[in-house]
Amino acid sequence: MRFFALVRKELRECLPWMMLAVVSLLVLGGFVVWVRVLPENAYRYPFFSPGSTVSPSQLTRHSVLGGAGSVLLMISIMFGLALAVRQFWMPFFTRTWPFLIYRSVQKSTILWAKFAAGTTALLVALGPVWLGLFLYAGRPEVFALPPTLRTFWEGWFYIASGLIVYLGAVLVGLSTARWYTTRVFGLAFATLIVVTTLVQCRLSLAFVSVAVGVAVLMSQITHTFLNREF
Amino acid sequence: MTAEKHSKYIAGPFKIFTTLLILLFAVVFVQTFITQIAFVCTYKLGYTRPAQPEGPNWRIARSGRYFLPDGTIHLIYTSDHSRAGEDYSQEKIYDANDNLLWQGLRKDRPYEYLSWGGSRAALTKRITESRMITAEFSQELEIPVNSKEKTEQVWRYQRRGGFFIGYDMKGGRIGYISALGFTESKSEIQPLGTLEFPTAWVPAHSFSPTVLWQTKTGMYQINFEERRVELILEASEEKIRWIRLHDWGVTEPELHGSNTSIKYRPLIDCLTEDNKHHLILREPDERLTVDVPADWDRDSGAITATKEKIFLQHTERDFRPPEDISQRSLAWQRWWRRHLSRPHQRWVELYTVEDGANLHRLNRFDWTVPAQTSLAEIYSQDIYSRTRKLTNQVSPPAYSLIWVMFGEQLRTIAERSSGMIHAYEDIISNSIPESAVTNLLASAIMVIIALWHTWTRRTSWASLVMWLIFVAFFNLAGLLTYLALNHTPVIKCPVCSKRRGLERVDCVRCGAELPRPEPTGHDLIFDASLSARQPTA
Repeated sequence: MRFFALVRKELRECLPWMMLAVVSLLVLGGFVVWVRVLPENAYRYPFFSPGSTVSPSQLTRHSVLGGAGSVLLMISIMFGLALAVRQFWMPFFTRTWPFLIYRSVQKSTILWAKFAAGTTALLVALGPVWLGLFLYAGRPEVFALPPTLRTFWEGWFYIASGLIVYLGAVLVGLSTARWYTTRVFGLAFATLIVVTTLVQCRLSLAFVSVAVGVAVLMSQITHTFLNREF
Repeated sequence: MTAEKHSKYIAGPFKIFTTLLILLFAVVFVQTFITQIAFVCTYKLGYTRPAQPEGPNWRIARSGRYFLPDGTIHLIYTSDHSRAGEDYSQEKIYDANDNLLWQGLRKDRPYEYLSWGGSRAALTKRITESRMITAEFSQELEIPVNSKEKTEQVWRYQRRGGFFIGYDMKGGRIGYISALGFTESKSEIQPLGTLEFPTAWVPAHSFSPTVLWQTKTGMYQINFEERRVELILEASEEKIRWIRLHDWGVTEPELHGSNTSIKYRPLIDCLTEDNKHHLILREPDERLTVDVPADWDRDSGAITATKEKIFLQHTERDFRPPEDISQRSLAWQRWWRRHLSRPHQRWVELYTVEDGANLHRLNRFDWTVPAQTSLAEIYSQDIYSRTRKLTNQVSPPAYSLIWVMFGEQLRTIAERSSGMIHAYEDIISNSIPESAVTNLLASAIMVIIALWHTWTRRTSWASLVMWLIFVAFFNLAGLLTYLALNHTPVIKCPVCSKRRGLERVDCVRCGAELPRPEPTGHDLIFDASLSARQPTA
């Protein structure tokens, strides 16, 4: 019960950021898709002259949701950063860690409640909007060629990138090292993982990359949080 | 308390891994930055040197060697300074005995030479990279079927099933194209096979691409407008190394001029890994397999077919790079420069493919390539490689070990992966130290520094030995990782007056414990052992 109470408290604190992320993705992502739907911006294939050779690059096309994907990735990363700052940096700035830590719950319960709230906020804020955009673009009257299922899963990897950045920023927030030494390594590692995920051609390898990133960062966060003084 | 204790067994190794990974990247970045700076500086320095005058041997070496259909060879020399436009460049044509036959603008050239098929293998990478997730999703292979005004249909490749799905522009499904041709039902399809490389062109009187679908061992020609699939090459046992097309689908005026009098036959030359050229010819349809000698350089043969004959051109040199050295490695560059810096022999041969696919030599021309005189380039390259050699001394010896054990597999993976992974492999392979001795020496220096640092701070012998091995394995990155994770302040021991760390209660030199503060009446924290000995009031 105490765990869920803590999750609710954390979610309440994250709510403004969640709403901002939802509205941003809905407005910006929706606008990008809507612009592509307009007849004057309709998706056109290159004109090929009779008797000409065709480069393979002329035969490959980005998804109709490509622009919305960039927006999703950007918002996901910014949102992950904002959540980490809100949950783990702000208590340092406002000196409120002791009020949270020294209560009748274990430290690990507080940490897991924060993680649960952060992950739920990311998924709940971005997941349904992404699903909505995908379903909208998949209607035949909107785009003749629907986005593929692979595009849908790739969108979830963008959301997972936000989770990686969130964890990296949390580790930076909890580290006691100086900022010009190993303190920024959490975010540097998160950046490496995000880049490694985005350069994968196979979704299984992208999943492995995200899983490794989450495992490495979570274990260090847990150890740091449980062993440091507040 | 248990979680706090046990978490360090997982978090500790991960922390080392994270720190090491980031510092390895940082070291590679600094190495690359320094060598590139050196390259840019020395390149500018060398570029200002005056060009050296070229002798007749250089002219011959730099000339293009072209064959007439009767087998006569001509050498065409184009001055470096007259390449404003291909057709308007100044040419000098010599015969095999170095007699000047003709000079003038290329467009007025009185001879017509045999042209050869081209390879588009370099573009394979682009298709692989289209599957990369990137920041705006991966790309799909989509073939449009166009009328003169607009796109009527689009055929999208389904990688998982190995077939195409057709859509009209209102979103309706047309059907499927697979190895069995066009079908309306998905249950009737047969996969085309994993795409290795597509070659596409737009036939005359059409606005839609036709695709040559090359798999590892076979080839299909797919005309989407007519919804027709043709098996061009049966699945062979050997893997296809490359294909070259000549006048297949479209004529290639850039190769032999638009008003050619030589009548060519459309040709696909498919080289398999067993060094056999599988020829698919049209007008009339014919299939041939040409077996070339095993000692020929596999990529040196080019084939063309006229209405009268089939020709094979073979170019060779008197040295060949060792196959076990990667073409992107420093060792390969050094090897290549060493050979270019002394004269070497080259030759070109023209064969006709007679009945039964036998080779009959028509002509051969030998020439000597003089020693590389472009000092600017050599100078620049030498400074560059010397800088790289120097910076690579701090690379981890682990790289060399990994390269020796898994180099070939890593290269294969990188070749087939995206550009980014290819770039990583490139950076790592360039960071491999040339000399194991100096690299190990640099590593030993790092170990000594780590030992000097850790001696006063050591907590256990096992930990000390582990870190020293770690530093020896990863060189500079290992030392930086060690320092990042182990640097703690030291104090002067009150007993032996030597420096000691604070991680252990007892001094590592004299064994004395850390001094306890004198208890006072206002202390909130009491030493239980002391208070137990005090008599109660």
